[in-house]
Amino acid sequence: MAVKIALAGNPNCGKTTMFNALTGANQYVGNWPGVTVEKKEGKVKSRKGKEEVIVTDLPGIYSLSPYTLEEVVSRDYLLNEDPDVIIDLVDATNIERNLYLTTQLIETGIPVVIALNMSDLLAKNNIKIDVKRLSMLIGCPIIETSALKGTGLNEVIDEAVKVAKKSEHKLPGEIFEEDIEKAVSDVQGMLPDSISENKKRWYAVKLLERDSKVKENKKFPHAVLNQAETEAKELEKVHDDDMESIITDGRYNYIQKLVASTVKKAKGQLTVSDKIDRIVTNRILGIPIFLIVMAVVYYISVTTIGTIVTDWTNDVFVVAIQDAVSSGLGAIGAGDLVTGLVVDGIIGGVGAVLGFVPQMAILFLFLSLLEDCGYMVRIAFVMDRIFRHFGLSGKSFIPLLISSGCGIPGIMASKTIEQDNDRRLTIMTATFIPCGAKLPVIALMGGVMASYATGSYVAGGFVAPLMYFIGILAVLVSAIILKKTKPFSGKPAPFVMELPQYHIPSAKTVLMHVWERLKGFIIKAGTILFLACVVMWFLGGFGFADGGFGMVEDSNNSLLAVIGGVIAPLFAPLGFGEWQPVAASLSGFTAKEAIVSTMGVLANVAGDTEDAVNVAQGVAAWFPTTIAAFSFLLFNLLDSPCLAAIATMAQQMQSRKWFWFAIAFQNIFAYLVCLSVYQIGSFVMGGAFGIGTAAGFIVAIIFLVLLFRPDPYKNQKVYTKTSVQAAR
Amino acid sequence: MIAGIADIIILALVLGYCGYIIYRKHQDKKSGKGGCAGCSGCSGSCAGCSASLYQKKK
Repeated sequence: MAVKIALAGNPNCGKTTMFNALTGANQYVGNWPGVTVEKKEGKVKSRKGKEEVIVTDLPGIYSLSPYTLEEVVSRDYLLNEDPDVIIDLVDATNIERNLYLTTQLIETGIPVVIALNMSDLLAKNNIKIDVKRLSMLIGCPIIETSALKGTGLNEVIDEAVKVAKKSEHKLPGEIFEEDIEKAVSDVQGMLPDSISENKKRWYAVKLLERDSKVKENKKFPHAVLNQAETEAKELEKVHDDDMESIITDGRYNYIQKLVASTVKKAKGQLTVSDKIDRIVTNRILGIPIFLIVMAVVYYISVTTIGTIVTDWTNDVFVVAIQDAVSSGLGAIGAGDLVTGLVVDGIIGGVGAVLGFVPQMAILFLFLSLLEDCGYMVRIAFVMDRIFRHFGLSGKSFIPLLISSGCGIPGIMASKTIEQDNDRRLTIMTATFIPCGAKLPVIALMGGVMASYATGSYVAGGFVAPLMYFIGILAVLVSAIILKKTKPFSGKPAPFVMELPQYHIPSAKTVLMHVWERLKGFIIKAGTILFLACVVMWFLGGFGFADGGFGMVEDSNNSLLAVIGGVIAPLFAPLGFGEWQPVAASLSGFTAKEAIVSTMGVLANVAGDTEDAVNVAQGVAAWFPTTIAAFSFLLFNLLDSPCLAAIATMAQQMQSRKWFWFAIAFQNIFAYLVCLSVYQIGSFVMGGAFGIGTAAGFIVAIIFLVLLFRPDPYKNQKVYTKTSVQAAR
Repeated sequence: MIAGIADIIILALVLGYCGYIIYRKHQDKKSGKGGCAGCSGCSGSCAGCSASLYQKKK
């Protein structure tokens, strides 16, 4: 029979790296909490002649409390699915913090083997651990490992199998002070026999802590609950603190005694990571460094290398394919309708998006490098200082950071924010950050804007980092405005996070990460965008003309022109009142890349030079000025995201009222900002003063009043549900 | 106007593929994999979005 092993540990301790190394599975390795929410299983490879071992990779957690979904997932698994043994990965360079979870894992009654990971970094960090003594004191075998280098992995599996096969296991030992241990023992003694002996201590401690999920999931006799409550009240009186804090302090006191006698650190010596962090997370230098890094990343991705490779791709693939297919279809006798559908609609539309694959690949490469080396997680720490001034904590920045890839996991990541008001605010504003899907739109419109400014379409590289920073600014502006309203008022929660050590990015992990993202993009182009292009080609090429329905010569007579034309006048004050950009914006709700593919279809691009440039040339006619093009881009950055992200918002908001409020806020905010930007911008650049200009100034003044008015709820306390309850 | 066999075949292929895409998305949504159009910017792993699956399964 297979041995079931649960792999547990703090985030960033190398759990997923170890899981990949043990099972050979390809899993994404990220550096911030919450990136692995789903549990994964795999068979340990290279076990020929030995028993089968199945490993389950649990989410990275700091404790087995009931506050986050990751913690609930992990403890549900450990208590209900009864693995034979737990391998607890402990980061050897952060042992004190990691042992907190260890004490709780031991309490579950399941045998624990500690894998002391990153032990190769101990010497570098001037730390010495007496592993034998620590193992004896804590009561668990300890194996030194390095998941990255692949050392100690077979040994830890062999030890885990050996422990799992023992017929007798030790019950969890005592770690608290005498009075707390007495209370635990009293409650333990009253627990029913339906709870196995090895698990009784865990339940006793949780009942003393008044763990709500334990009480929900298991029915305890009233006598047990009353006893636990009596003991808890008595301890709270004596220690003058709440039970959770008493238990937490008790654990840390125990850990400090362990560490004092087994871990020796050289005093006053900074690790390499500490030295880098003195600059990177510096109070003054942190933000400028972040701004420069992101500006360089986006600039290099969208211009220079990105543009060179994109232009080459377009010349080789898209144009060549269009010519070849056009000739081929002509040779087999295909008619104009079908040729138009395939060459202009499908290849023109999908090709316009695929042309940006090289730029996106380079951007993903840079972002993966920053993530894998450990820098990205520090940005949340750096931004916490800024965000706190605007009523948000750095915890809100993590979903925004994730949203720069895709808004959906960004919105999902907001569930780690315990306070309802901050979580709602983060969900509503997460998609202000340009996601990967918006990058082709930014690149295209950046080219259009650059053509007005410099005469060249390829000089729009600065637009990409600019839109990224505008996204962050939009989040901050929204936070300031909404935090001064009752439903969103309240101080941000304290933000505590662990900064992992810096390390040289693993080429395999980075390239795998880039490939996964690109694969998703290409698959999307071949499915959703393909469908959108066919629909847009039909709507843009067919209509009512000369008393009948059929293909139209002039796209202004098309169905799309009718649909877009109904709404287009609404967008005239924003600078793009033509039906083509409005239709393109509407198509963006299926997928934001569809804005580019729709523009490609409507511009009827079929040239033999740079396809992306031709699309930009084609759409420039719809935006008479730079500011109009910028307004269009800004609107599509700030308005509601794609339908999939909207569905995720609905799920995470858990309230129809708040969901519709979020949709209304995003679109009204986008409209008013673009109105103000376009009208004031046009006036400043030499335009006439009209009603629109007056409206623009009024909107700007209203924004300024909302931003700078005193906060009526400055000192209000807000008590909210925990994220797990809210996310149900 | 649609003229020959080539037009009919190509149109059938294109429309058939479109129908297949719609069918697959519908099937994915029914089996709980839905809610995502295949993010172009995410890691490719659905781990970041998977909580919805866990909740549904529970």
